Amino acid sequence: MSLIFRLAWRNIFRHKGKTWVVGSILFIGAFLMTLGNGLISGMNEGFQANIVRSFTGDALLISDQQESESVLASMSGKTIEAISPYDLLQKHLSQSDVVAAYLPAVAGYVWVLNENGQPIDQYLLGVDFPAYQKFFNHSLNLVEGHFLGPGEKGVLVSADLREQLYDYMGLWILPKGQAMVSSHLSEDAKKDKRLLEKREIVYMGLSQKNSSVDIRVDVAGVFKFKALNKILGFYSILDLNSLRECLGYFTPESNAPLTHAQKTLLTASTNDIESSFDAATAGTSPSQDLSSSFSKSISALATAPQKNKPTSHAAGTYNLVFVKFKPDLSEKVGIQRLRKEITAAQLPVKVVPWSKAIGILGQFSMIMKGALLVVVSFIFFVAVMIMTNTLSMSIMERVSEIGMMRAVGARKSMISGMLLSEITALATFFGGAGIIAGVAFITLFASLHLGTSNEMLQLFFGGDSFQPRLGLSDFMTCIAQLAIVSGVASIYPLFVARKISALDAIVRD
Amino acid sequence: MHLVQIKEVTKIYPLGTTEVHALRGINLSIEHGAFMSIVGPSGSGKTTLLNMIGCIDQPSTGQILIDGQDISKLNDNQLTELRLYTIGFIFQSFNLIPVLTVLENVEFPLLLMKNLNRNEIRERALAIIESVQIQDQIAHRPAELSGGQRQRVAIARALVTNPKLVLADEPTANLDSETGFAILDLMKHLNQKNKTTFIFSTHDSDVLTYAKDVVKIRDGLVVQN
Repeated sequence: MSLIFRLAWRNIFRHKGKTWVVGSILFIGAFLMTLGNGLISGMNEGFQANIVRSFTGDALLISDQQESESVLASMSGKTIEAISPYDLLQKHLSQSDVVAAYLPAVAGYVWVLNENGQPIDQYLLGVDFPAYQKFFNHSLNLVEGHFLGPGEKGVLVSADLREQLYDYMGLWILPKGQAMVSSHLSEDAKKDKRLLEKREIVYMGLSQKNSSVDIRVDVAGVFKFKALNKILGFYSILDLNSLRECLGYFTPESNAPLTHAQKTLLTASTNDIESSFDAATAGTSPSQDLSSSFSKSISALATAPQKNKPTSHAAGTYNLVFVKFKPDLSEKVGIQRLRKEITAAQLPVKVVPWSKAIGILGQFSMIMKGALLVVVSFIFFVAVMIMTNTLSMSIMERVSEIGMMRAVGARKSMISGMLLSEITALATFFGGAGIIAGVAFITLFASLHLGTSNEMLQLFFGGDSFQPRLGLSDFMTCIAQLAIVSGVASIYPLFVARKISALDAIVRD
Repeated sequence: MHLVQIKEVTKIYPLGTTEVHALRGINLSIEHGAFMSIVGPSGSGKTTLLNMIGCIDQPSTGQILIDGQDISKLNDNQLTELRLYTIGFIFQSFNLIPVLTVLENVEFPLLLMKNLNRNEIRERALAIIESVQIQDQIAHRPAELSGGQRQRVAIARALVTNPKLVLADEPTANLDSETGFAILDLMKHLNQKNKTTFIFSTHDSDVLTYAKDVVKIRDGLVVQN
């Protein structure tokens, strides 16, 4: 064994030119692969952290009647089952050992009605906005208008959606009382000489009973996500009750106590109602009280001012709850423990990991990862080709030496061992140096906290700052990749070397 | 029993659409302890015959027995073992391992052998180096030696395993005449001392004076034995 290593080691120094060629390729390849792995890992972690921090929380709770778990980016447009009863769940969550914070919400697809053309579908999230901001660490930037205050009715439109709405409807959405900001216009909108402005939106929601409910809401503001807006900015945020109403869910107003007149009206028989109308018309009134109170209640309902009164969350319907686990719990453990708690409490909900809740969005990370992997694989391939050629040339120059070794009694396995030792030594030294240089670069870049507001760069960064990282598993991946490249690159040269016979050495002479 | 028995051996090399008949039916028996020279003009088949005897090449037809073993029935590993334990080689171009020192080159075949300990290897290598009188160069690499010294190293490497048969293909061809004769003297001395069988090819008539047996071949056939 020591003979093989001695031969390998000395051959490395004897063929200095080729050693440097192969070594340089190994160094550059390992360096680039390490950087690539750091980028992929950083992007993936950044992407996940940003999504968890500003979009999903650690997990979501949805009704156990809800079939699809990808409730945040479902393509089906089907109404999400309501969580019922929410009060029990709320009570449990506030006492849970696992949950650090939670945010109940309503989500669903609606149609944006357009008097000028086709309606367009849109995903809306109904939340108590101040609570949303607190829960998601103020992840939104205000572009125009203002954020919704406590109990305020209105919609916050995503800046990207505003451009989409313009493309489909030819209307430029503006917050109420907001003047046009020409620098915020999309390229197409800037060219539009008859640009129509719109400060309110009519949404048509499909209720669970398949009936449609239209609502008209004022636009309060336009926002962007601080990070990953290109991915996350596909929904607008509506006040809770407006969305509940639009989607046909139960609202706190539905639960308000009925007046005497309303109760009378609801409990009256059809004949009583009809006769009360007749009596009112004729002027004689056996049921004058009923008729009078009915008329009053109708007129009272019609003239009642729309007040932005604060509502109790527990009083209305929710169809999902965002959950953050306590800091000492990993996502996996948190989910396991919350599931146990929920099963024990017999609550009619299920715990959905955030990665499942975002459905197709989660694949974006895979696509970006795939794109970078293609680049890394290309580096891989080029490195293998150059190394294979250089090593093969080196073998061909050593036919006499290898043939002579075979003549004096060296087996093929000894020749293979010698060459593998040479390649291993080169890979360890130069490839190892490449990995160390890559780690140094990654550490340097990570410490610089390079930030960007460029939305395309954010996709590669996995957030608004460049944070490549290399964990132990990534480090092991780099070593494995180096081993694979070296291994694959040595297959053909080994094949050539093993075919060299003692006769070849003599023929060469 | 003869050390080497060659029976009706032919060797045909394809050359494009034609065939080259390097050996056309050789019959030869070589005794233990022989000091035999194979002579003939260039292209007569000397090297081909040595390659067959050395288990480096296989005959197209016929049979070669080395120490009683039919080489055509041995696989690659068995042939390698046979070369390691039974045959020593001395090449025209010395063919030493350039990255190893004289001592390491001589030790090389011993290190390939099983069941030899480090001390035994070193002792045997030093002893044979001394017998070929290059003990002053043991730490040198081949590039630092003269042609004669390299060939002495090659002889030492061929003999260090105590082979029954040493094959030398024109061992003096790349040496000046004085060094060549010194090498032949050395080979003859080792043949007489160790009873090792030497078969060497040459086309130098002066070299023939050293040989006890001479086999003359021409056009792939033995014309005189």
